[in-house]
Amino acid sequence: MSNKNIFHILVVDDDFSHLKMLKTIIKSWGYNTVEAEDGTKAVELVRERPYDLIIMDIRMAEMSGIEALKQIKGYNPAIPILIMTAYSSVDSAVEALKSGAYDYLTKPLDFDVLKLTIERALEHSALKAENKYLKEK
Amino acid sequence: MDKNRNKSFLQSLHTSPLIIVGSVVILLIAVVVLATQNYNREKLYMSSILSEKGAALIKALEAGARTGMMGMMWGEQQVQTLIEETALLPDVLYITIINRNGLVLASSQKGLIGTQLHNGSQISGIVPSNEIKWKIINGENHRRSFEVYRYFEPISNQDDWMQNRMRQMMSGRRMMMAPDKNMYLPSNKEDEKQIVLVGLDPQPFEEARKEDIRNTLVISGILVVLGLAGFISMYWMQSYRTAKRSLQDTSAIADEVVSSLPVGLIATDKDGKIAFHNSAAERITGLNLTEARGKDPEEILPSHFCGLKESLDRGESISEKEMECEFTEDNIIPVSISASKIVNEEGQFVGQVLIIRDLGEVRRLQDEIRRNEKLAAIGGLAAGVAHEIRNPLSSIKGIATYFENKFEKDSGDQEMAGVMADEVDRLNRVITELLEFARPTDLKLKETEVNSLIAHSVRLIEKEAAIKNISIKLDLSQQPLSAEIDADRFSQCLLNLYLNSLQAMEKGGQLHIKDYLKNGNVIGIEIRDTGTGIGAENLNKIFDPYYTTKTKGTGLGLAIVYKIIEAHNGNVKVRSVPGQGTTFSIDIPAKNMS
Repeated sequence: MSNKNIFHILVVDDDFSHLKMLKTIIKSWGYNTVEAEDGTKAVELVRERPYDLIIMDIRMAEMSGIEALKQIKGYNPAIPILIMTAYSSVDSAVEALKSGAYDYLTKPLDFDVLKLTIERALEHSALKAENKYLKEK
Repeated sequence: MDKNRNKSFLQSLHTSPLIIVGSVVILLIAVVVLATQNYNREKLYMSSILSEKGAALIKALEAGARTGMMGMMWGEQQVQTLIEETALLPDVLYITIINRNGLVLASSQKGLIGTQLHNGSQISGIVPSNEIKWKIINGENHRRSFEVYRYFEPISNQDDWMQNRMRQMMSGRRMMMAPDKNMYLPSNKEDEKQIVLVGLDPQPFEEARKEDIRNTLVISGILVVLGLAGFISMYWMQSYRTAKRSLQDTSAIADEVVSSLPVGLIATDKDGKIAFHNSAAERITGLNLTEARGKDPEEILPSHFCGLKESLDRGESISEKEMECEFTEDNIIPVSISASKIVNEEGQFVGQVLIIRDLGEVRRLQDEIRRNEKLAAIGGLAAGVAHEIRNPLSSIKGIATYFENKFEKDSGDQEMAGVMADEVDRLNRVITELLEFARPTDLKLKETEVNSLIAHSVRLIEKEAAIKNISIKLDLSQQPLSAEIDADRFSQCLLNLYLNSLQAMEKGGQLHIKDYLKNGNVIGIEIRDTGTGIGAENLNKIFDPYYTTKTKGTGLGLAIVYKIIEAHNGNVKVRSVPGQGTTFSIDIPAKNMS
C-alpha cells in the first residue's frame, strides 16, 4: 500500500474541530481527503464521484450517520464505511454493522487502530474490486 | 368429599326443626296406637273375665238344677230358690230365666216373674245359642250391667238317655203330686227353649279399666313429654355441637390468619396488660413478647409506645402513623403503627390492639427506586456529557498524536505531545467508568455455570499477570455451580477485582481465585492477592464512588462491583492485612442446587 495518494477518503463529522483534525491526520498519512460537515452533504458528494473509503460520525445533527450510511450503501454498496461514535454501545454498533458498515470505532480515536483499519478496509476493497474484475474477465 | 357430605347432612339436621316436629308427631301416633291397643286389651280382658264368671254361674245353676231333678223334688220353687241364692254372690246383679218369648220364668228379682222382659224386637237383639254370649245393658238410673246369656239346659240335649230318664221321672212325679209346669226340662223345640240371663256388675272392672286408662294416659303423656324432651335435647345438642365446631373452625381460621399476617399485632386486655401477640410482632420488634404476657406494655415497649401512649390512653384510634421506633437498643426500625380500642357487642371496652407494620422493606425499595432514578438521571446526563466531551477529547488526542509524529524523535516536545495523548486517555477512562457506574442495573439474568464464567474471565488477565510476574491459582469447585447471572456484568465485576489485585502486586505475587457452595444455597467466590493490602481505616471506604488510593485510578471500579453484586441479590466483602494482601469475598444465591 505504497501509493496512498491514489485513494480518496471522505471524512464526515458535524464537529468541525474533529473534522479538521481527522482530515489533517489522514492527509499526513498520505491519503487524499475530502470533508463533509453532515450526512446530507456526504450523500451528495458520493453521488458526484466514487470514494475509496468513508469515515463518518454516527451522531450528526442534519442526518444521522446510520441514515447517511443506508443512503450511500443504497447508491454504491462497494464503498467501505467506518463509523465513529462518542458514546459506544453494543446496540449502536450492531445497528451500524447490520446497515453495512465496515467497522466501528469509538471516540477518542486510537489513531494507530484507525490507521490500521483504514489500510485494511482499502486493501479489502481493492481485493474485492480485483476479484470482480477477474470474474468479469 | 365424604366429610363434606357428612357436614352437609349435619347441617341439614341442624337447620331443620321440622324433623323434630315430625318425630314428635310420629311419637304421638305411636303412643296413641299403643294406648288404644292397651284400652282394647283391657276391654277384652274385662269382658273375658265377666263372661267366664257368668258362664261359671250358669254352669253352677244348671248343675244345681240337674241335682235337684235327680232328687225328684224339682220344680219352679226350687229353681227360684237356687237362682235367688246364687244371685247373692258378690257382683251378681240378677239371674233371670226367660223363654224365647221373653217371659220371665224365674228371676232373682221376684217382681219380674211372669212379666215380659224383652219384647219381640229386644229378644231378637240377643241371639241365644248354646255358647256363652254377653251384652252390656243400660238399666235404670244409668246402671249398667254385663249380661251373660245362653240357653238354659240343665240336661244336655245330646244325652238322650238322661233326657228320657228325666222325663220318666218327671211324669212319675206328676202322678205323686200336683205337677208344676214342665219347665226346665230339655226340649228339642226351639220355641220351648229357655234362656238364662246373668247380670253381672261391671263397675269394679270398669273402675279398674278407667284406672288403667288413666294410668295409660299418664304414662303416654310422660312418654310424649320425655320423647319431646329427648328430641329437643338432641336438637339442642346438635345445635350446640355444630355451633361449637363452627366456633372452633372460625377460631382456627382466625388464629391462622392472625399468625400468618405479615403485620405485627399486640393486643391488651381491659386492664391494659398484654394479652396477645403474633409472631410477626416479635419479628418486627425483636422483643420476646411471650414473656411479656400479662405485663404492662410500658415495661417492654419503647417509652410511651413510641409517643402514642397519650393518644391510646384517650381511647383515640391511630391510623397508619409512620415513625422510627427503637424497640431494642441501637435498633431503630421504621414502622407504621395503627391502634384502636376493642369493644364488645355491649359497647364495653375490652382492650386495645396495636398493629405494627415493618416499613424497612418498603423504605429499602423506595431507596432503591430513588437510587435507580438518580442513577438513570446521572446515566442520561453522563451519556450526553460523554458525547460532548469525547468529541473534543478525540480532537485533542488527534492533534497531540499529530504533533507527536511531527516533533523530533525523543525530543521533549514529542514527549509532551505523548503525555497530552495519555492524559486524554485518562480523561476518557473517567468518563467510561462514570458511564458504567451510572448505567442502570437492569440485569439480563440467565442461568450460568459459575466455574466456566470464572475460568473464562481469568483467561482475559493471564497475559497481564504473566508480565507482572504474578501466578494465578484457580481453585474451582468440583461440582458445577449454577446461578442466575448477567454474565457480561458479572464478568466485569470479576475483571475489576482481578485488575485491582494485579495493581496491588506490582512486584509480583499470587492471585488465588476459588469458588464453592455455602450452606447448599449460596455460591461463594474468593479473590485473594498477596499485594500491599489496605489499611483498616480505608477498608470501609473502598466501595465508595471516587474513593481511590491509586494515582491512576478513577475510584469507580469497586463501586461498580458493589452495585452489580447487590443487583444480583448478593454481597461483597473485603478483608485485608497491610503488607500481606487482600481478599474479596462475593456471595450470590445459587440456583436450584438440588
